[in-house]
Amino acid sequence: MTGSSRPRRIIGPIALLTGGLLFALIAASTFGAAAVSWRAALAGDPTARAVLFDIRLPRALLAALIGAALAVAGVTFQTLLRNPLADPFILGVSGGAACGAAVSTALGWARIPGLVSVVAFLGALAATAAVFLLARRREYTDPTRLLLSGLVLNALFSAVILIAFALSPQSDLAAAVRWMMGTLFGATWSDVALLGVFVAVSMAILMTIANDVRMFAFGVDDAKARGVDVERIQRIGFVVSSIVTGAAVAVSGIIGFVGLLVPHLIRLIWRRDFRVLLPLSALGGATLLVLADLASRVALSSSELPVGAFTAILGVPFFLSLLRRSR
Amino acid sequence: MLDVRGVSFAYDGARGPGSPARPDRLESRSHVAVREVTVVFERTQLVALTGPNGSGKSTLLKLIARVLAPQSGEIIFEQRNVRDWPAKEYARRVGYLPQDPDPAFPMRAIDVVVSGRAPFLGRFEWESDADYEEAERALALCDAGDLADRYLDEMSGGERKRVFLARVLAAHPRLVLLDEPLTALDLSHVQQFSALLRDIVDRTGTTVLYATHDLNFAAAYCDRMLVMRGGSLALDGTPSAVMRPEVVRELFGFEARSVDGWLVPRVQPQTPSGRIP
Amino acid sequence: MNGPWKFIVHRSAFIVLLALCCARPTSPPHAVRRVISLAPNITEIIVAAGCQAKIVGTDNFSDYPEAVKGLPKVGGVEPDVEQIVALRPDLVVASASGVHPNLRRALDAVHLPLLVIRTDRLSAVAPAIGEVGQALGCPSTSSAVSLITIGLQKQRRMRTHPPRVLFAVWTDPLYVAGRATFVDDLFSITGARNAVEANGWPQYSLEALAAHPPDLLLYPNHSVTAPAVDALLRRAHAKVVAVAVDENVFTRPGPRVTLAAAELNRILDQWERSH
Repeated sequence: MTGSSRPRRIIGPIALLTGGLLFALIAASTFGAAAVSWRAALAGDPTARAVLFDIRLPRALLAALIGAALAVAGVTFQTLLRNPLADPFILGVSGGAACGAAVSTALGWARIPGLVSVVAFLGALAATAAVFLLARRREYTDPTRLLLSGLVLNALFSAVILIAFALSPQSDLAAAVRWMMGTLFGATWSDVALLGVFVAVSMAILMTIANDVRMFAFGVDDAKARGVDVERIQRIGFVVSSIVTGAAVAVSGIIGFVGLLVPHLIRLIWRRDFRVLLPLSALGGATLLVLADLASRVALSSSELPVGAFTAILGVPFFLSLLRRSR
Repeated sequence: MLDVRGVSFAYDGARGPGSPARPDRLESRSHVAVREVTVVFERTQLVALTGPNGSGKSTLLKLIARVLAPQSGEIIFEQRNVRDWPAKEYARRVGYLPQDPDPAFPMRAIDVVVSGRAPFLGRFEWESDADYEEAERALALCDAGDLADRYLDEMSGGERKRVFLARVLAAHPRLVLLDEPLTALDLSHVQQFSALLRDIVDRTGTTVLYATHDLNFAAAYCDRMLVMRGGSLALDGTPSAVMRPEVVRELFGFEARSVDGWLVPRVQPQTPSGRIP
Repeated sequence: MNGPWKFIVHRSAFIVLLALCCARPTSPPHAVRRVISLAPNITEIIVAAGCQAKIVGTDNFSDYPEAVKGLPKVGGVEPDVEQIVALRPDLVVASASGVHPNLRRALDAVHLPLLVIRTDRLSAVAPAIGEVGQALGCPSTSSAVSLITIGLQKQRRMRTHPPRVLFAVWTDPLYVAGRATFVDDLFSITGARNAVEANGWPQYSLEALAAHPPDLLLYPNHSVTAPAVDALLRRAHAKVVAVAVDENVFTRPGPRVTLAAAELNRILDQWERSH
């Protein structure tokens, strides 16, 4: 008997990634546009406290939550759809959210704090519902129809967004475009708490069905034959992933790459099934986005760059090196 | 052990590949794949399911595996209607291997096989050491013990089939359903695989029902052969009863003659002008 | 000459004659009677120079003086060339910072002359009035120019402790007016100091706002709302005096720059009094 085929422990990878995330959070809190020190903050200096505890720390934690949400949604979609190219936006969630944001910008609602985020979230939910209704066939949800519906709806949303932008007041437009590129500006503790609830509940639900979700990797018929309630698991997985993605997008705009590639990064390193990939992807996505947000804040001394650019700049070389080293 | 009684199933083309037609419109505009099939299976049998393409072999296997639900008739497994069995319990007793299994992501053989133990796991349980031992035993049974740590995409077709067979066997099912496990295998692997199935049936008492196109190898190893045509069960008998020229002529549509127990197609001699008389 | 050569010469002469009669000049004709303005500040400049009667159409955003609102509109960022042509102008005037890249080609195709005026900095306003007045032949050009020059001179201040001012064009994310912009020029002339060090219109970080809050935060009164500014200042934990300014005057480099400078001086004087 080969001893090396024993089940490998999960504690090691989780500890490693948690350590990485903690390191990233500390770095993100330490560096930024203002030169303040931890010592001053702990000593009670009000400016240092404001910058570290009320601006940097919630922003770093929000980045972690968004990265976790997107990576978790990505790995769930990839496993349920058996498609390595699936990402959290594939079912039209991002299009719906962006559409909501663009239309509310055109209506001038961007001048009311917080309203765009709410409309974006509602747009995400509406898009998810629309995609499912379009793909539904009595009792049967065909994944191919689901993907096609998502594709078609995304195209429709793009059209609406372009029109909305053309009609938007010029002054509001720059901010709307920046939202489409992803931004964590102005993250507050209440944002962290709200998204934290979404992410925690979603992860709990997905961990509950993880044992069944991983059977999808062998095919739907195979999973059915092994006692998995395919319809129910698909529905729960898709809905939970879409909702958590919608919440993340409503807060920070559309940040690509994380949901698509973090699961692959984790898979390339550890090659385990969904039950392990789920928490590892959450940790990996969180770490990547915290570092990307830090880079976007400090790359230029005078200005912030879009965070979505840095998820790619940081993630792609790492991914390519792993790809080359893999079998 | 397994009692299939008058089972029928029709696909509704407009609604999707796996969706059944509505019961009241069984015959209308949809494709009837299985038509009033009645058959009984006992333990310790190696049964070959043959028939032309589209005759309903895959559908019948799926109906027994609970992938599809029959529109009329019923399937009784161990005195209980298949519908009434809890999903996981049924999955422990009945193993199913679909055509062309293809995991979406790269996996090691041992991980593929141990996932066959899934019907035994609770919601939050991980595979135990005992599960891994069962997996290794299943691999050994399938003559694939040395493949445990190798990745699926590095293996040949024959090796992959053996790994997937081990996955089905890892749960120690009483009934094993295999959908065309021998296609795309070369001749030596067909022989090896057929011998392996015979061995498993004899050693463990499992009943194996497998769909195949190769009549001769099936006849050589099986206890029983079923022939389907147009969704109905045309013939159910021993290999010698099935492997007759008149059966081949009527059910498969070509002329054959029996040579040493093998059915060989009758090849027409050609006239000088190249035309068949 | 023999046959083919004769043919070629006659054909060429014909073509040259055809071109001479039918070509139209692309430089502005001497007398401009009908003009279209493609930017609100250009409209105000034309009016200040004394040629309001010549304006036959404007862009969608021109709104000052009141009478201009009733004129036909030809579009916003991408003006409708068909509507421009329908108004039969002699000249189209656009601002350099707002002119669409394809506009010149589009107007050339219909043989309409285009005059592009640079107005991005404070120092460009007076020359802009002069250039427009000359092109249109306006009566009050020189008086308008001197009005601006003298008016700005009167608003020039030197303050012993120049207040640090931040001009926010948007709050979420925070976009500000940096150095080398029109707003920055207004700051310089009124003796204020721009809290932003970078050039152009960069995004400003919340941390910088928290760590080095400005003395005053100004914002345009239409695009940015008071609740939005409150939300921003709350997030930055910064206690800053925020004042709304007339957007049409502060972000429109035109003859009303003197009003902008005066308003800014008023705000700064008031701040200095209470500090």
